[in-house]
Amino acid sequence: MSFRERLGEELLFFDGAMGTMMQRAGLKPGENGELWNILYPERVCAIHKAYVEAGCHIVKTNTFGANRLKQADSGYSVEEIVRAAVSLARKAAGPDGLVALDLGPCGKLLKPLGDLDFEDAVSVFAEIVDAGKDRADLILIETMSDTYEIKAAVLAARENSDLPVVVTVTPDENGRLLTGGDPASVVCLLEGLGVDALGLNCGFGPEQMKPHFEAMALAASIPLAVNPNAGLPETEDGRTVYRLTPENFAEIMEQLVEDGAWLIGGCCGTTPDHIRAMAKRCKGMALRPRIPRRKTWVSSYTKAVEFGKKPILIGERINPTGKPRLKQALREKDMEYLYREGIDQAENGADILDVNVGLPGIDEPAVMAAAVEGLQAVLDIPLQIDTSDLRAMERALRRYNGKPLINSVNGKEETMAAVFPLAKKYGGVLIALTLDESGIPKTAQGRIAIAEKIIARAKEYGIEKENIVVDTLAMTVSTGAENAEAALDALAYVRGTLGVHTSLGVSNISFGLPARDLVNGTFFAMALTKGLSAGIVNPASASIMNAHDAYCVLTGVDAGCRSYVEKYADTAAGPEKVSVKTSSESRVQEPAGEDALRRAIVKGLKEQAFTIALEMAKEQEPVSIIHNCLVPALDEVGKGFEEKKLFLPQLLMSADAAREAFEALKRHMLSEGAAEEKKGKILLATVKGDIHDIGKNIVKVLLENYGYDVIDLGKDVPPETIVETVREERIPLVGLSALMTTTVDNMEETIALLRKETDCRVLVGGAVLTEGYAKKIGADYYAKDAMESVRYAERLFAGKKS
Amino acid sequence: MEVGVREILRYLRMREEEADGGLLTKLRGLTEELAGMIRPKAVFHRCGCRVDETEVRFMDCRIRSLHLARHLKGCRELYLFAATLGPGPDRLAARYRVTDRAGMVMVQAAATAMIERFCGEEQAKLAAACREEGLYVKPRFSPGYGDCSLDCQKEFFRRLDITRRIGVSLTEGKMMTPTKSVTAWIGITERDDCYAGKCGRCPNGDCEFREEIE
Repeated sequence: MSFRERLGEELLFFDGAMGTMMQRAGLKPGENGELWNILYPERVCAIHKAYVEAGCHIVKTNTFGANRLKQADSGYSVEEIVRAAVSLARKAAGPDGLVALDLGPCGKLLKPLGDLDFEDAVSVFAEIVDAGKDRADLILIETMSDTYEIKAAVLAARENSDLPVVVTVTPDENGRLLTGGDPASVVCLLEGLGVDALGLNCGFGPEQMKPHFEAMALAASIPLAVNPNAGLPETEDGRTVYRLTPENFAEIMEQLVEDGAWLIGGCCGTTPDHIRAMAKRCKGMALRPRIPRRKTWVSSYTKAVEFGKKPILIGERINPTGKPRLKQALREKDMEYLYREGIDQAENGADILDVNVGLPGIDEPAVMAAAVEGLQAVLDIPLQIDTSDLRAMERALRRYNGKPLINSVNGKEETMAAVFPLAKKYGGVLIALTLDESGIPKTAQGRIAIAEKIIARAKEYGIEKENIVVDTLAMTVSTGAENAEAALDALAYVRGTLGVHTSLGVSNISFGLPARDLVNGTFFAMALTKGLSAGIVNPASASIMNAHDAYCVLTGVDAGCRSYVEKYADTAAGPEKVSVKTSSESRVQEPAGEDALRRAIVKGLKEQAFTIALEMAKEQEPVSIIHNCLVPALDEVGKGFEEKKLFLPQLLMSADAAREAFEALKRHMLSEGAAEEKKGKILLATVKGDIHDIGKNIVKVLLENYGYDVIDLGKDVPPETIVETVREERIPLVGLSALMTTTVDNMEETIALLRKETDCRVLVGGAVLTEGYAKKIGADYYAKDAMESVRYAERLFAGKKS
Repeated sequence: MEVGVREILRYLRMREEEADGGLLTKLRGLTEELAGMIRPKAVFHRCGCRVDETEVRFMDCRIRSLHLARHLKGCRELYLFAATLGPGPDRLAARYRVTDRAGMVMVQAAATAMIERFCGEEQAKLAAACREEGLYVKPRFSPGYGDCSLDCQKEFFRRLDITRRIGVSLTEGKMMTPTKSVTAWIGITERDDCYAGKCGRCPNGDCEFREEIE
């Protein structure tokens, strides 16, 4: 019988530790255990056999670290090691036993925390799967502590085999993964990806694992696995030992079966004796039925957001439609602007962020992927991938670290046929728009019929209704008063009768009307009472947030009115005065004037700098504001820094304030249709091999403030990429940063290549550099701090002009 | 973990009297936010070593470094030590890089102060254990320091099983991620006369962070 046939029919036993047994057989600390598959096959086979004789059903192959990153220096290929390992496990398992191809962590952190690219991680795992799939019965991805790496491994398993996949993770004592994931976010991601079972291994003994297991069992619908250590590790004569006896181990494993485990076994420190005792004690136990939770939920790398608990706010601001400043940012590849929009919305209370970068003339798949990666690096809330470009959708779904919302599918056959497979593969929740080939039905009945059609068709693809959120389409009431009613009636039916969650693009309702916020807020409140689960809204809108907060109080969602009181207790003037963070319109008025702006920048007051600059731009040319206020203020602060009267934090506070003033001027110029004047292009990069980018980031903000067009290639940048960009963008000045002595060599290499291929100037900086060393490696200039970089650029570009 | 403002300001190359109230308030707020995001973890392994003029041997490793050899002179045992604050500081700094660059450098400075403090606390525990045997520990010495190559990080990671145990991994360039992580040798000695302040034996006399030795 296959693994899938047996799973759920009987309690299945994994084997115990391989490493512990190999150490007993002579493996030294730090020795490459996977090589034993080739060097000492008889020893590995004997360990497998001992476990089979002890009563295990599933033998884990000795391939935990058999990936190309760890085996690079081993002298053997991954294929050789994995094939040997699977063959040994197969031999020991016998005709009735099952073999689990074991995939451990690849040993590197993925970007942006580390330097391993997501697709490279997929390919590292794919290589193992490919080598082992023919003779394995299932794939066990274990000891995982990063949701992104888990996703890479599961995709590798899915794309290269049809084998069942079991994933077990290792949380810390707080129940969270190393990269922050809580049990709900892990379950949400894994169930979305469609694995066969999930659970826990390593890290703890069975006793300490119990609470973490319970948390997981409470969130999960699918079968659960648990492979704990033989107690907590202790150190004895410099060696790690585990002291839980086989009998005690078995006793607690029995409790874990009672708590819902369907697959049990052991990890570090467990031996055939532990497995024998466990099998003896637990054999024949009844399996606790798994309850389908039917949750509609999405996740980020760290948390899950469930529909139906409270109204969900989906931030709508990352969408270029009607936003000239965002359009400009996207065209100029100014992704930081987009990230700031995201952070602002999250700080204002968005639960999920919609991400739409659709703009004619841009490479949407590439920009969408960059946006998703950038946003998930700076935010911990889930994202909604919003695009009609299927390539952009797939790239974003793939790179997304969690279970996303997908915006959207609709009732058109062609769209459903294209989008459902993507949603199934990558495990998202779909926003289903109630329109089809004949357009948007005018009536609620028409929209309900489309919703029913989409739900039924999704089921054919294996997508259950909990993974669908129906949007009954808010159309502007300015063209027909019945538009609100149609959307709301359909909404009430979908939520109440079909039992499917709902969403609306709330602000569409007021298109073409003045004072739109007023209508939006009221419509949002009406929709909430009809059963709206999620609104796509602007979280900086006071009327939306007021409606939301009041609704939560009135429905008891905000238990004891706690959040409400916390937010509004100090607002004597009423909620309309509650300030929300916004990078655009609704800032408080400040007295304008050159002195005031200079002072705001020198003092580092961001909000003030923005509003004063915005006010001043109505009266003065932005260019004169820059020359008369911004530059003198920055010079004053820069001088103070050089004279050591001011320090780096103060310099940067001023830089941040100046950046806000620039932002205000940019918006003004955009609204006037004026073009921004840049002094010149400068490329910045931290050289290959170096992941420290703080110095480079400081230089960047200052150069931008002085009006340069800075192209920031980030950290760990290969020389070839730098040269290529210099050529393509015709860049006259390159700034390179390196923190470590080891990476200064790469700086030298980069400069050599730049000299050979281009005629740009090179400015260098970094903790270990000195003037002499900079000369030696061929740089044009060594800047000891960020201000010196600015001064050099000013001299260089002034010379170029004259 | 408690770290003083003075300590953080040192990494910003400032003295307390040079910081105004606004800056201090901001710094305290960020330090508090950071404190909620760190997950300090440490591992160590004690083993015998042989130190001569130019190299240090322990387990099956052999490190050629005059500075390390000089630092560990007279030690017959050492600790391999590794510690991290987890990915929290990197994530927080990434967010502030977008919204608030002054905040970014303050988070970096506070995180540096915290990892140093944490290493100090962990080292104090090792020192206390050694004292019970009548032994003393020397200051930490990290790969990449002085003439000691970063290449030995790889061996360090293998011996201590750092990636699996505390979640720190090495990049291609042998740097650690999360970045607020430390690896170090801590020499064990029979004499108490070797400690001359944290920076006493460092060859880099020009270092801006050098602590004055009383």
